[in-house]
Amino acid sequence: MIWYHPAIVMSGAPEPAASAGAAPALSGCEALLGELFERSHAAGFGFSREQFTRVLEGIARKYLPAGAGAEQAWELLSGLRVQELALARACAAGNERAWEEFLTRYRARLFEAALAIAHDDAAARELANSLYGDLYGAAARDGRRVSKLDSYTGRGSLEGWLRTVLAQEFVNQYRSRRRLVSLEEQEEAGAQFAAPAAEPAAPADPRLNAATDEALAALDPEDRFILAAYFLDRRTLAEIARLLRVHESTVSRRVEKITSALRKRIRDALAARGMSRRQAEEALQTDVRDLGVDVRARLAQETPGPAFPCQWQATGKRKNE
Amino acid sequence: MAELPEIVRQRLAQQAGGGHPDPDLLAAFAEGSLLARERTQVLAHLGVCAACRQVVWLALPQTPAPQAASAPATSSWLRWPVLRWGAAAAAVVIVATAVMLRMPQRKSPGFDERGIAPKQELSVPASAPPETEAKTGELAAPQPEKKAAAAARADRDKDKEAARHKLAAKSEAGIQAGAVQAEAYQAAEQLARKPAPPAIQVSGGQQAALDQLQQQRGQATQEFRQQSVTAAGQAAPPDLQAQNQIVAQQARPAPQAAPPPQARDKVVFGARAEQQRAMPAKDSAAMLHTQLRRTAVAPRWRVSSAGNLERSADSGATWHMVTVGQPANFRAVSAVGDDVWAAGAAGALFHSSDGGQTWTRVFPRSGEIALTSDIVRVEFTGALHGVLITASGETWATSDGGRTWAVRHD
Repeated sequence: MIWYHPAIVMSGAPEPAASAGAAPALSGCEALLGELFERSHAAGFGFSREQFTRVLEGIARKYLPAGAGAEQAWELLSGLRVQELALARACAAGNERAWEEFLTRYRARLFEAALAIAHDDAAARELANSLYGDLYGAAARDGRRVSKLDSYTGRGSLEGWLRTVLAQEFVNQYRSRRRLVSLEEQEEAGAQFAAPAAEPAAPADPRLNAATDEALAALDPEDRFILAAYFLDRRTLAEIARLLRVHESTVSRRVEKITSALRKRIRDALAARGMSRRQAEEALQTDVRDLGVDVRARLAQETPGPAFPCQWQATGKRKNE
Repeated sequence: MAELPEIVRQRLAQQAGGGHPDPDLLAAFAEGSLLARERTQVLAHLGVCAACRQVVWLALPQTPAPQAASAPATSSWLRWPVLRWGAAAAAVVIVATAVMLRMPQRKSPGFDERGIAPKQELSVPASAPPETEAKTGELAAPQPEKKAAAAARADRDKDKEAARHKLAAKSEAGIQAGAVQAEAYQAAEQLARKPAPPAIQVSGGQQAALDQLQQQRGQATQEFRQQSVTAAGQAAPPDLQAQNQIVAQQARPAPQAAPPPQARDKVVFGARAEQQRAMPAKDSAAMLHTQLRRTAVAPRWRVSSAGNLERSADSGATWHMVTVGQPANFRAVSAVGDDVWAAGAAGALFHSSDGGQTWTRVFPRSGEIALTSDIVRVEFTGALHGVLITASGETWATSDGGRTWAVRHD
């Protein structure tokens, strides 16, 4: 799997360089490649089968691990949204008919998505227009227009990809603006009345940190995501359930279960490091008092979430709670 | 909700991820279309990367506005729990009233609820007595003399009336039954032209059995009518239409004999009765009650704008998300009784034959071709016959409950 590094800046992000290794075996997928070409209607945008196959090979090279077999390739390719892929690649290649179709299908949705993210009409228009520029390929590289649509690979829907790119653009804009807040704006925001910085918090017992890290590392990825989404991002059970495609009550039960299991693991780890059960419990509880100020500061720094204009931030509570 | 120790919160927030997944992967993750291996990787990253989590939350499509937001304010006693139980009570009262209104008509043993003579000669289950089977064989032959004789025999043979009604209620299924029903209708028309038969003296036990049978049949009729209302807007099932045609053809030995006006009702009900054919007679009433109760609160299905499958057990007032055990982005759903078919992105097709309790992934294939494009529409007209429409304009049809498929490119 290809990961972008180190930031989530995606503006003008080119197709990641192909892996140095050999292309994954698509030898058993000729029939599927032909079928995908037919289904994509890429020929209507002027693509030949060979051209479209090269696009699919690039996607397979990007996402399949080295040495992947034909079965894995079939699984990956058969799940691609080839129609939307053909449309996006045709737009990136400057096909006018494709652009007309793209604008007809996605112009309104793009603005709606931008409005849902920015919560402000002017900001939404700015966000959407900025993305339009990237999609059209305003930025040229080596004398060649580079369209962001060239990086769409059809793993998800084109609309979902557009929403994600918009969200990334919004986060990037927010971060860059936050670094450039003027002194007047800080004063308007009441920064001059801010309380003086608290005394540095007492360092936690290193054994407690180690035990906590050990317990967190042992968590299942999905459990850890649930914890972070609920306790750090302050997302509602309904939102988490929607993303994970499970019932809300399932998430509620899992939060309870993960939390209690985590406490138990930390206590056990502390006991293994020489703490009595009572000391371990006190360490967990005392830490709340001693590290409260520092933790809030760290969370605000690490988690940009609360700075975004979400509904629950107005009241300081989660939605639906 | 449980609290997380502050140290855990701190360490949880501190561990930031390295590289970030591209928008394709994040979008596919949010839509549930990632492979299992990739999903685990993305989840592991999201667990430690607040920035990517924020992107995912921001990119989530808007949830549909809750219905309560647009609903007018109601008084406290009109709150949902009261309405729910009130609706259930009202449904019971309506059904009971309908049954009681029909019972006086059925008190006249020579006529059914339409004022037509009962279907006296029907196909019988395998466990039927030989005597009844012989009569069924006689009357299955489309001869007018035998039909008239059957009607006359019905007037005479009062002691066997209740038993025949019981058999009729259980065996109204199938084409053969439909044909025999049609003959009974013709015989009934002849009887209807005659003066009303004299009151029939029956014993107490016979009358009780007759009342029980009439009540069952009244409930069955109500059940079918409710099913008809539920299925309003959907095209008539082709298999049932075909059965109707066969029934109508067999019911008309002479060209002038019009098909019975409620032949379709009988066929549809008969299809359910066909499933009950092997059941013992004593379970028939309980089965009918169960089906009636199930139909009264028949769940509704829909796909939310977020691509989730949802079910409502209260006629659409509240909806609850249903999971199928695998991530999927749904686009369409079709339900026929307990058979539910949910379909969506990347050829995702799931089937439940128990009203959504358990689900099975179905992979439609036609020869070398596999269905992998988005399914935008699914229509099942019965447990076996259904059609899928894909975003690429393909039509996939099955006539064996999804075991085999035929694809047509439009």
